[in-house]
Amino acid sequence: MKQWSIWLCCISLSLPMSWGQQTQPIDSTAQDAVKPPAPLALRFGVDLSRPLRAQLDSDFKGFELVGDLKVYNDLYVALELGNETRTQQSEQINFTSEGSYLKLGIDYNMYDNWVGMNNQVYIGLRLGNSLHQQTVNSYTLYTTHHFWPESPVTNSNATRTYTDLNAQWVEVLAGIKVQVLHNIYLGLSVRMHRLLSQKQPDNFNNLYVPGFNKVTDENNFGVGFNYTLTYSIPIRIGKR
Amino acid sequence: MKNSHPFLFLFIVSSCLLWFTQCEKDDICVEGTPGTPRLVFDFYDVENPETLKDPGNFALTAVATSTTIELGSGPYILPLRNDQDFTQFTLTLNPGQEDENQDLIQIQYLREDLYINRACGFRAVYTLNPNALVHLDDPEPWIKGFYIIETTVTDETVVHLALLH
Repeated sequence: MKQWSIWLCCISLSLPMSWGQQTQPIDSTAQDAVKPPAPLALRFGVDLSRPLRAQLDSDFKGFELVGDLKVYNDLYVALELGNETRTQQSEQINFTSEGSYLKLGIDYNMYDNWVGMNNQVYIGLRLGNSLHQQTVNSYTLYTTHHFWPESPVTNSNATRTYTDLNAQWVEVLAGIKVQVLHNIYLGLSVRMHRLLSQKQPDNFNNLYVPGFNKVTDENNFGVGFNYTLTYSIPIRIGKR
Repeated sequence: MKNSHPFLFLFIVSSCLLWFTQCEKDDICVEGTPGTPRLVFDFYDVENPETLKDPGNFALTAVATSTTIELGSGPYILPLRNDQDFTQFTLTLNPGQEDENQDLIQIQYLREDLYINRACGFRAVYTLNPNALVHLDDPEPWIKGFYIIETTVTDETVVHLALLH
């Protein structure tokens, strides 16, 4: 857990530094000169919905770390990093998906804060990537004649673990972050995913991708949400 | 966009998302999707194995359930068991008559399951053993032999097994 956090910090910090410097000359408008220097605000935390769901649903385990860093007036670099294990029964198949994902992108704040506040109503864009595996636990064979009694198949050529799978997708999201205590924020975001590419198993499909959620045969879209608790550390880098 | 009802905006976005997650086409296994095939066999003349020969009056019963399988005219269709690699049937020539002859046979095969899609799941296909048909303790069988026409059973459009009598 500690390693994750350090890694998270490093990525969030290293990316936008150079970016922030590049944009400085454009930034020096008359309006901005009146405002006090805005600190770069790093915010990091966890998703609350996944641990909660893990408590309620024994077939689900998962966590998600989130972070964002203010790099320009209303522009944030944001990322989510998570791991999920989920067993579910689809129409015919009982299977388990297990894996990690990383989502990296930007948030654009549309809410006009009072000076010093950092609440957000935002829209964002992410690129997501998962590394996962799927296990077929059991299934009912598809037959149209129903002559013999049908019992779930638990031992066959198909009931095995399909490893080394991955998926890439893009997300658009909308959300809010509200300060509830000093430097502590509650956030909610809803997301729409669109699958870009994936590595499918032989003789099976990616039916559930961690981070992307349900994958359907008919279209490339998926949905998701998170409910976050984040802590903000104001960091000042130079005078803007 | 600033200060222009951000919560209304959020509401619209989330409603759109909900709409997207409604009923999906691939929750339903479309009727007509080819399922697990059954074994197709027919009767041929033992003197002349290429020629079809109707055995006349006969009955076909699945051993484990004692269910008599409805028969039309050939070719005939046998459902295979998926919980084991063999299925037993009795083929009775002239049932209920004086010269009744009952053969207990065992069809032997290997099963492999192929993925179709999310809604339908998997279907089975079979590979017949070289020794696809064995008689179980029968001193005087009326089925004299067999030969395999199609080793892999993937659909019901061709005859897989020829029984000789």
